[in-house]
Amino acid sequence: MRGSMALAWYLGGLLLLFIGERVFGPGSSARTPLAVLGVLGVIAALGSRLQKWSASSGETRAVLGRLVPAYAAALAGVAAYGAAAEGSPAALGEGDFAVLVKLASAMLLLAGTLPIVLMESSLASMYGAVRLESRRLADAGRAGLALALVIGGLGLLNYWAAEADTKIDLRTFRTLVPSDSTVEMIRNLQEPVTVTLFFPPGNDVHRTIAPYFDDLDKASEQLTVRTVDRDMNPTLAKELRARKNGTIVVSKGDSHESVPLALKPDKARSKIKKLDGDFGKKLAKVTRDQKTAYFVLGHGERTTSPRADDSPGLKVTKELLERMNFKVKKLGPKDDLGNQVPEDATLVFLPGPRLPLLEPEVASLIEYVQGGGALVVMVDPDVEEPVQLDPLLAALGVTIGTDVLTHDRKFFPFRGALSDRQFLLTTRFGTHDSTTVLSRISNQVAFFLDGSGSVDKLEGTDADVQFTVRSVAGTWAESDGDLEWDKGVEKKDVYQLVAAVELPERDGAGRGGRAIVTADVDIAADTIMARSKGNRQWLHDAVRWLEDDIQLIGEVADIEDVPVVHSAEGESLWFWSSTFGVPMLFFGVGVGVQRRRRTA
Amino acid sequence: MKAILLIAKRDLSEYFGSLLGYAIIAVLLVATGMLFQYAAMGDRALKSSQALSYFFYFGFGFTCFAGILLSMGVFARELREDTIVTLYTAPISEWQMVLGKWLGAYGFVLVFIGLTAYMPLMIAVNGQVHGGHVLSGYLGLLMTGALCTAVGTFSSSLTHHQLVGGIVGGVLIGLLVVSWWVAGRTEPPLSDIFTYLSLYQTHVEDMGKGTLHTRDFVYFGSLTFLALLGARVVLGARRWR
Repeated sequence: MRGSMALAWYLGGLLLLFIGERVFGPGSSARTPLAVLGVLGVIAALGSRLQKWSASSGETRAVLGRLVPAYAAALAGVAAYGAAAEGSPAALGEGDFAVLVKLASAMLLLAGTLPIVLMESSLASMYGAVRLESRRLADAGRAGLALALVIGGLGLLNYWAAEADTKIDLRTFRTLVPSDSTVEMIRNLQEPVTVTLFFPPGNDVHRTIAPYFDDLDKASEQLTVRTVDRDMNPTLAKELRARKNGTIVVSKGDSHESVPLALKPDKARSKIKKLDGDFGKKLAKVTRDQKTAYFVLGHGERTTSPRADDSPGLKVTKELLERMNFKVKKLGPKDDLGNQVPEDATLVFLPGPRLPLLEPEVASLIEYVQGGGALVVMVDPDVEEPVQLDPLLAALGVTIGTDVLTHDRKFFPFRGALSDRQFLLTTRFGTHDSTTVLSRISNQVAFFLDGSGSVDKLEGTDADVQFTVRSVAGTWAESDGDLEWDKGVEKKDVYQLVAAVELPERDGAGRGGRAIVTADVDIAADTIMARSKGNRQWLHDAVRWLEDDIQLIGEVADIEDVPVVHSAEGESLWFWSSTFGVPMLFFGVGVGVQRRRRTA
Repeated sequence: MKAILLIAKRDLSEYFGSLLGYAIIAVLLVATGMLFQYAAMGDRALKSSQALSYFFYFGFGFTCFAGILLSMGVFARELREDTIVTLYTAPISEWQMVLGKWLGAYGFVLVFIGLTAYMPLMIAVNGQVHGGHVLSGYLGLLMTGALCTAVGTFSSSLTHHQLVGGIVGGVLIGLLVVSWWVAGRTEPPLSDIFTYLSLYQTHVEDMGKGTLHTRDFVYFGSLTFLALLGARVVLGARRWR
């Protein structure tokens, strides 16, 4: 019985059937001959085993008696397949019964083939034995049948799992929580606002965003959130100017602002990430008057694009201001800064000028802030000759130390070079409206600076100067540029990094001017802003304080995906330390364990 | 359960007791790290989530390698050195043997997966990663590791030669990976079956990008179980072969 012919007939038959059905398929002239030959092969296998079974006796008959039903089951499977196969003479066509027959044919084939293969293999191993053992064959048959049933069961389970598949997008979870600032805006609503979610029933994107709006709905009775299928309510959609489903409309009276999303999760994903910011922006637009922030330029200041010398731009800052319902404009030499700051300015940024401002320009800024305006002055000491802004700073009651602050331990290894000692971080925040949230979350976030100087209060000033961010202890102001602490020359201390200035109220101004003064422009530059939640939070709350909107101060939402950035000089350090450092360390542990074992 | 843990512990201490286990993981870590550095941390300005997806893409391949390499000898060694007799004569079932061996090898694969954690950390330092994305990707690696180790355990039970076991395991996993291309060259219902069977494109790729599918848990659970059942059937075949 070695090398069973029946098994060869059987497997050959199945192979011919497969080639006929799957390689040639319906419509091919080769299909029918191959199918006939295949079926004949299976019949021949069964016939061969039947013939030997009927001719045998005793234990041999018992052994072969176990094989015959398996071959018969397999042949029944082939017959069932023939009845259900497309284009066969006995085709059952479509419908539930045909599906059931196809399923039965697959199960019968499986339940026949696996026991056949295992039993024939068991039988082959008994070749030459004095007596055949039917128990061994029974074991093999049972194992084959169990395997077939498990495969069949798992197949059905997986079919069901594929049909009932649910997708869970873990990437959007974080941004689906309303930020504090959005919730505060909702809580401060004075008039009714309606949010209409235009989505069809059972939409995946709607399911994802619904909990976000449920949270907002609970924050104020002035807010109403409703879901409407645009196709079922075309009149309302037209009134709210919703052109298609997958749109969110924020309405107050006749004022409507829409946030376009999408109906398919794949297309909506990137928009969902920004949902809190975009929704907050539209909400601010319908509930509050838009304000204007001016960025002074024309003196080498940072702009929203990176400069030719690779200094990072202020694009993220601009985006943050826009989300806070600011219109961001440039204030250049052509805009008559020398005469006055534009009347619509709510906020003026002076982001790191590298050339001196003209006297009339400085005078305009002083006049503006003393008249109740809001100013952000960012001096950039990280240049060869820091620009002097003394008259302006004196009016604000502060002075700037332009020696770059350095620390030999508490720094961020951003570039992998000694210059990282000036890439500082701190979690020391003062008690001030502009840093309330930062103080609260200082165990989760840090405030980063790259090449910062220090800020001090000018002796004898009548301005109220509060320091809101301080360096960590042990920081020194680097005087000779060697980035090493020179004892006796350089003093390790805590330095003031950001000042919040409130000027005395001038007659008729309504309120005193406000200013934020920093000795580093990089704290608002893209390199840091894109990565540091602490810096974004600081800017958000500082701006809210400057425009006297402290009720809207709250934790800001994360921004969307940011690029991976690492400097060229740090590249080799990253490469060697990570690619080889970790594996070598692990291998070293292995060597150590081996040695210890040998010693023991 | 006690017997399973006992076998797993014994095998795990064997891995930790030999330099080969450390060397395999160190080499795989170097390879993963180099590819990761080249593709995700190089000169191209990739977004953090893209870099993380690259990491999981390479992580998948090397987890497959680790699973097969570390499990290809679990039974083959015992068969070659005839120490399998000790296991056969011990008062434990074939299931306990298989599960114990698989668990021991999988434990070491988990060490490899754990040691790759510095790569997402590097992205977090140089960019920004979402916890959900990391969680989803690592779930994919854990399930891939479990499946590949189970397939390696099965192939190891077939032969006395570790290398042959490794090759058979690699071919089986390779078949699951290439079934995506096979699906493109066949017609329904075969193409549907091959698409579903496709290990990477249908079941791992999305997890590496931060999206989980409930079907993936059933798929990995089913195939892992099937491979372990296969190993159990092969070991049980001594009664009838």
